[in-house]
Amino acid sequence: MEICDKGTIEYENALNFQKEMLQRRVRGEISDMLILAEHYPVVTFGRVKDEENILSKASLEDDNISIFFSNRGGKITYHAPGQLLLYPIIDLRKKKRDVRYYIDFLEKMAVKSLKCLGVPAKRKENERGVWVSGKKIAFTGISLKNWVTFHGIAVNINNDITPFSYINPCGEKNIEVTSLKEVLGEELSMTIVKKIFVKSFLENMEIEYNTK
Amino acid sequence: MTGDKKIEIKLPDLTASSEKAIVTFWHAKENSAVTKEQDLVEVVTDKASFCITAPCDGKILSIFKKVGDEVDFGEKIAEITV
Repeated sequence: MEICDKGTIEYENALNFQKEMLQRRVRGEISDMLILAEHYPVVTFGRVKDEENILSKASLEDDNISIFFSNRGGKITYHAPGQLLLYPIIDLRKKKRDVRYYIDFLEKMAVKSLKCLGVPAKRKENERGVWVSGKKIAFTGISLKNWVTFHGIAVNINNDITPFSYINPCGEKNIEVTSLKEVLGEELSMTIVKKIFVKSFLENMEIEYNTK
Repeated sequence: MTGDKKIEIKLPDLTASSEKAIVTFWHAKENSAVTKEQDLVEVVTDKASFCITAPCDGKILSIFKKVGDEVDFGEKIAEITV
């Protein structure tokens, strides 16, 4: 498994990089890969262009938050520096071919990582994402082509969560959002956070997909 | 030359639990030529989009599901002649 940290990068550039790696993975030219990134402030839509879920376009403009229409699953969300994005490029063709199982895997990995960092994160039975005391801290939205994955999971670490109030995150009304910084009352080093997430990711790949 | 053999394009079983998907985007039109592994159609479930590609070179004879339609796993979406 190759780990590729793109640092802080425009959403569109990260997406183009994912698509390039996806094509190479589909052709068998590279092994599975985990891309890490942070994005400059942007609101993204999935294939469902639910523009009614923008609550304050003026606030987005005032804060210089751009809008991008993506091809991932899931609905509207927000990205900014301090939020950790994990974009696995995983070939499921010779693994368990199950979309729901894969999203479960991502959420379990995020719960495990956040618990390592002292955050009492949980999954909900009938709702996607990862939650802390009823507030959403991590958001999934994935895509697959020929059973190779791209897009992935976003986790609020040190980012300001105010702009989530400008939208209905994931198309859900009255949803509360939190971050690791808000829960712990302090910022954590993104370097340490990334190391914990990568470790959990690799461990859970072994457990859930027998990759050892 | 195409037209001798028909291949059905079906929605694969995306998850073990019974579920439907919704067609969100067609990359190709009826009667258009397609090449192997070209993007054909995208569908979404709750948090995932899935792109189905052409299994071989050919021509799209029929499209059975339009954008917004629900599709069951295993259901026929299109037919290609090769």
